[in-house]
Amino acid sequence: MKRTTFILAGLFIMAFAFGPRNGQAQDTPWTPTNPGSDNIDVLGHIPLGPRLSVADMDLEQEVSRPYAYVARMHYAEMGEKGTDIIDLSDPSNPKVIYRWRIENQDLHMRTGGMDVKYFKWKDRYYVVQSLQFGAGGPNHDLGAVVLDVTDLPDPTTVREVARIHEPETPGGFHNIFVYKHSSGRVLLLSTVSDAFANVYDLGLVVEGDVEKALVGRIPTPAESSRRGYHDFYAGYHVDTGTDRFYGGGTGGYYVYDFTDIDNPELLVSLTGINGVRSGHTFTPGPNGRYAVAETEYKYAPLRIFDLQPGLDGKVSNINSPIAAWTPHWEGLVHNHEVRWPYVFVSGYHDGLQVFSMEDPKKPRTVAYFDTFTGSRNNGGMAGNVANGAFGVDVRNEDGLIVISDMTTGFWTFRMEGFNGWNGEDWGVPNVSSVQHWDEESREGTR
Amino acid sequence: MSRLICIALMLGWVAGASAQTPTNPGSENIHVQGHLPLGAPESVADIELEQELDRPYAYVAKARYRDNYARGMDIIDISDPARPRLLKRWINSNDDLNAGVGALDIKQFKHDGRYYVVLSTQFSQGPDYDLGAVVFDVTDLPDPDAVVEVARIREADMPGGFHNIFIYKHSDGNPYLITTVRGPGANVYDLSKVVSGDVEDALAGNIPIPGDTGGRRGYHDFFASFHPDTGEDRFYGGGFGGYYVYDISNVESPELRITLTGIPGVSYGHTFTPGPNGRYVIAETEYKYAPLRIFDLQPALDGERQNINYPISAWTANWENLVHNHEVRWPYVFVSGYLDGLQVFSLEDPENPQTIGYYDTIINATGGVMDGAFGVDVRNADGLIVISDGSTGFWSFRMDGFNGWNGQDWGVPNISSVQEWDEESKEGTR
Repeated sequence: MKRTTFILAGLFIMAFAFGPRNGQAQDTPWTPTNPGSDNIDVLGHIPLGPRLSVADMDLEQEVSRPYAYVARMHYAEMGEKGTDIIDLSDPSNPKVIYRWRIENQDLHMRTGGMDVKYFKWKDRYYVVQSLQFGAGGPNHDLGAVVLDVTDLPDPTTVREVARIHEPETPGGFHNIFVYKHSSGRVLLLSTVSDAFANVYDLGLVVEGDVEKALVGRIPTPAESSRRGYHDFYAGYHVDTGTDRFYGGGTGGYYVYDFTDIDNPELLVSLTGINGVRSGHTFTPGPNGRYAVAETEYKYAPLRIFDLQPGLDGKVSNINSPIAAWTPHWEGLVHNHEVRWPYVFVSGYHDGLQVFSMEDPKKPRTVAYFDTFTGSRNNGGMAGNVANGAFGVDVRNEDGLIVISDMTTGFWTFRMEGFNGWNGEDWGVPNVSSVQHWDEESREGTR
Repeated sequence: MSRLICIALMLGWVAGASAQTPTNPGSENIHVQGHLPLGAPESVADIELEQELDRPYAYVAKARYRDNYARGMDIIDISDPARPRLLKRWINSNDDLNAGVGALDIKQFKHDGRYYVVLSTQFSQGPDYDLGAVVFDVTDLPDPDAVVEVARIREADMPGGFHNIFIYKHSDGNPYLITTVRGPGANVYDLSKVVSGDVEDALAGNIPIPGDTGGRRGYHDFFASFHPDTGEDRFYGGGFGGYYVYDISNVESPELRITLTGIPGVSYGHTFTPGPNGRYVIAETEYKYAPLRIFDLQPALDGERQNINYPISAWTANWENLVHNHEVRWPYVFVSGYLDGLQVFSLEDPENPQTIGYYDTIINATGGVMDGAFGVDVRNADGLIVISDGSTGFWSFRMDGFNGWNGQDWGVPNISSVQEWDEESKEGTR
């Protein structure tokens, strides 16, 4: 009860601090005093620091390892650069148990931590924190740091095991994705300041062979780009038995078969889309047919594409969405986690949003909770977008939903009727961003 | 004070109204005056309304977006606005021999006491592949037999016709026709030469697009108006890369004043219309999910910067659709909203545009996102609003509390798309 009172008080204060301008009506179902839909319950909330200092997050999937990892950045006036580790063994009372910070904070230029992913390799658990530091300070070429977090919750056991530097493409990694490849290798996909995505073998990284860990590159057809990709996802494509890469970047979105890491093969491009000059987050559903695509500017909805004509070989390029979704057309939403038919969205100013793609041509909002509540005129990017819910994740085992909000911090939720996710329960492959770390390889089935 | 009450009442009415439905297609403050179907689905394009009350004529371009419709122009008599009447249907000669959309845009002008209409044409092949516009003398309406074709403007070097046109009464006193072309920039024709038989010498200038090194970049649509603060004639064009403002006081040597490029979500500008004093502009991009964006040009007008790349606000009737043309009668913006019919919003607070009226002219669209209300116009003398709907034809409306428009009543220059044909020139004031 005390916590609920605290949350409501916090929201009230934020409503005052960032509230709509005088006379401007709140034209959303959520309001400062009624921030969520009836089917969403807040379990816990913990502020993490100053405004615009919280970036993406990742949630461990085993209920027996109740840890969330939150990237920390310096995006506005202040903010420490690193990673927060949160213990949510009691989801209603999340606690920061460890803070990793880059040394010499003041010397490091630009944002710092942006994306964060965890993985398991040979029974040990690791976290990869993507980093971006500018020229004029140390570690301009540092892309990621890898922490061994196996022995949590004891914070004294967290240790840094590797740093991935890329001196030829300095500027760091803006986004990363960790994928358990069908070969059994655990791969880190990273953006770089060039027209491709790097692929690292994380087994080699944590075993001390960082120098040889760069095992592949996934190109973009738009080769002249300074940063080819902005974000990506990889998933096993059950129908064809291939590993597939889904990337958003210069010109649009691209799907590659990267079963052979040395020779990624372009399968489908999505370019020439009205309103899309550069793709951002791009996430397919479990069978790879429907994909959710973001573009990072105000007024852009999430676009839903049907890749089937491309997958069938009828067309090589797709340039028109079959539908779109937005919680509020004047805003912009950010990342998303697909648990078919649900899509869990970190909706920036609109907080946590959940929509259903039961009918992909008519996506429908099914739940929401505004974690930010403040004005749309308060954001970190042009047009005052980019504030509020930045990252989202879902624990498949029990349906726990988490949000990292750029200003208000870390939140945990439950949605009524959503007690976990396994694709087979929905008649689709059990494929999501959640990896099957203990599966040796799929080679026997290929 | 009464203006504020009027706006408040409008906002109140709309706020209390339900969204448009087949049985309740309009807001309570919008009244249908008349409706006249004009043909098959997606055969109707843009519209122009004469401004003098004693010349109650509307001109509608007829296109061919599907099937085999005749292309040309309809002239509608609206002397009784409740009973619009088709006065004349003009169809291009050898219509069957020409391929392409046909006629999209249409504008009227007055010169030396006579009234003319310019119909833009676009053919992709056939005998009129190079035809850009047909000019008619319509002085002697309502006699339909007195409508006379007086000129055809061809561009043999850039065939493909004119997609959009605008007619501007320049401060030098001449009426100029500004046209898109299948080539670089926008062409400017001296209409006084065109109607006096000197079409060959009528091309007076070309307004370029910055950064066009290949000579292929063009405009999609434009507007021109006098800018009182600077005494300049200004061109506002949307096209490749975004939107551009030029000083066209000397039509032979346009000077770039402002660019709007690098705007997220805008790689190609479409319709681009300023308010009366040229500070706020409304910018369209022609794709589904795109709102109208509102830009404040003041930082550029003040010389603080030349490029503007972010809107101060946006407006849409329905974010899942797309709206099309717009006529600014500050603070109101009248919009032909494709699938959302007639829409009216207010820019009283440019950072918070508010819908204040609507009427859905197409309930059962059979085309795509660009079916429905294509063109819109407003008669300043009495506030009559007209819509040309691609499928349902011609509509006329009145909006409660809007009985005409003169910018001075709103404390702004009396500048809109409506031209002062009888004004000799502005040279005395420049």
